[in-house]
Amino acid sequence: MLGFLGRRLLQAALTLGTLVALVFLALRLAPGGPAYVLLGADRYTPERAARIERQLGLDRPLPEQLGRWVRELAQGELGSSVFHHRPALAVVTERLPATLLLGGLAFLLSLAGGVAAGVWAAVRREGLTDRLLRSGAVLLLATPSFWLGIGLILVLSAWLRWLPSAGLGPVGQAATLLERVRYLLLPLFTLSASHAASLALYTRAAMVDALRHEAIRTAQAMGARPRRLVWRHALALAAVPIVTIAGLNLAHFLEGSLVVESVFAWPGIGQLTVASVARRDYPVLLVISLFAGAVVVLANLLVDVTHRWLDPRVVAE
Amino acid sequence: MKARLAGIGLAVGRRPPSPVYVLLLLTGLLLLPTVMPLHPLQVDLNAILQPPSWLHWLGTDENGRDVLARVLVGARGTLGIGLAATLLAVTLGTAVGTAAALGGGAVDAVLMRGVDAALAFPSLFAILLCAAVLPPGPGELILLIGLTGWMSTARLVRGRMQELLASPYVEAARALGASRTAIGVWHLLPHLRALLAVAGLVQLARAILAEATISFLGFGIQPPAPTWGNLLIGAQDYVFTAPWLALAPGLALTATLLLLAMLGSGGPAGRLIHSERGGAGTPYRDRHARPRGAGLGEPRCSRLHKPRLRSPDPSGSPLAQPFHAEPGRRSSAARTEGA
Repeated sequence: MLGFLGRRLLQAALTLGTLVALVFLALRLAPGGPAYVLLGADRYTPERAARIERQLGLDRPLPEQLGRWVRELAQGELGSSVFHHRPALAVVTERLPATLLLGGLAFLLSLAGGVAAGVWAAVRREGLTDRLLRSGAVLLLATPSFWLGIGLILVLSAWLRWLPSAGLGPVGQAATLLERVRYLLLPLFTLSASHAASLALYTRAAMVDALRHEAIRTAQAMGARPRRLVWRHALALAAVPIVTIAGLNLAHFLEGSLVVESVFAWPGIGQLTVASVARRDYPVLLVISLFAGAVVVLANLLVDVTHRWLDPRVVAE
Repeated sequence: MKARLAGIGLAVGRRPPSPVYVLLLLTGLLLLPTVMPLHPLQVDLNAILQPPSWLHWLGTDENGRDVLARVLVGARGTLGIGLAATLLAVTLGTAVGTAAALGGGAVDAVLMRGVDAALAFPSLFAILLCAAVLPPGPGELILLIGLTGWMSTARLVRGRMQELLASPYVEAARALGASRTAIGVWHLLPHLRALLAVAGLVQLARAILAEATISFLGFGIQPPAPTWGNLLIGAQDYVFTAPWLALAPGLALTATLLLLAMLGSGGPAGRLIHSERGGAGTPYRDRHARPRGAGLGEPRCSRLHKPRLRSPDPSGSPLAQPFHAEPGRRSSAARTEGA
């Protein structure tokens, strides 16, 4: 197990390193570049641009820039935001709690909801519940999250006036916990919906197979109660594909947050990414891609380790 | 609109819509704007934000432009970019998958590591980062969406090709002196039609979604040229006063994605909804042959789908491996995963 972990960690570090180098090079090849953005179209002159590039070290050869950047990275120095004039790391980390709150809750919600719905549908296979759940899941999967978000705002905020349409909480006043939850509900649901839907469909398929397995028949013959049969024995058989899909979703919550945070004006990493792309704020984008890469690699690692734990027959290559 | 609603109705039923019908719908959407007297860019400041009426079936937007015209012309943008990106992704994926399967050994290892690496990073994120580097027009958008979508096709093609390579007729062709490339191109590629059709449908849905999302975030096709994604940018600001702006392009998107998912049980959704049909229980032993290092591979390559993706040949089971299979080849279950 230790050797397996070590190899996986090494792989993860390699992946992350390659990613950083690629993103760095891609961003440096941009036409226009940060000097243009900093100056704006009306103040832009080649001389001013050259001075800014000298200040930021952008006039040095690419390998030298990359080398310097990696050195600084190793010292925990990630450059400073072109737009905010503050360390890029600080700009990103202050946005982190909002994203982690929304993304973490959405992950838990989609996991619980998706697995529960999938198991329920599999147990009542071909019944009305099953059909409704499946149709609902397919419909959710075919609905892009930004349109789902706008649709929810349309119905719940504009027509029914039940929930606020954007932001973290009411502006200019201390928010009670209840108020905060009210602001959280719409983005939370929008972000979890498609993940819960895909998880439900995969869980259902895996559970339908699992419930037909001999082990279940044996357990039934030995007098296991239906609830224990489904939630303990059958779900254990179906766990591997479910974990794979859930891990995949974990990595893709990043993509979801790009869109959902933009729709609901949620001040997190997703919104910061979209704004930074528009501003060509490369240092911030680099920190964000490092973060994104870390999340993806971590999710991969988590899935592999969980697979090993769920099924000892899984052998690391 | 009626046809689209019928599509949603089909989702509840069990039969996938006929491909002909979908093709007709797509051509209709792409051709209609050229035939109809609609002016998606014509500004009419006397008719701002009007609700649906006889003159403007889906109302008008903040500049008095006809929403129906913009949605129909937007279809051309969204579907056109989606189709082109899909073509690119599937072609590239087929090329890489074929090269990996035929090349074997080091070529295979390098290419498949590349696939793994490319799959690891969230594609929307990658596209956005590239959008920061070069502000995309339609061409760049096709390139970006295509280049982030080829990996799953490459995996599928490689897996199927490796299975086919072990079949007797390949051995016969080789005995007759055909080169590896010739076998791949003339004998194996034609067998991939069904697989590629399915991969293409999945990619098309992905590409349409990607284009809409990027345009919605403001980095894709720029207004005033309409696409379903950028029509929704403005719509959000008017959601309280002019909800029809958001409803039309949103419903068009959902209905199109649903149709694609249903089509021939192609998409993951479609296949899962029909899982009952071919769904004889997968043997437990078989399912667990898979996950070693499966990591975050595309879910559509997973064991959940595979039995329904290909013809019911027994080679999927390690026990049924033909004994003339090349030495050193792993079992097909392991190969298809490309781990």
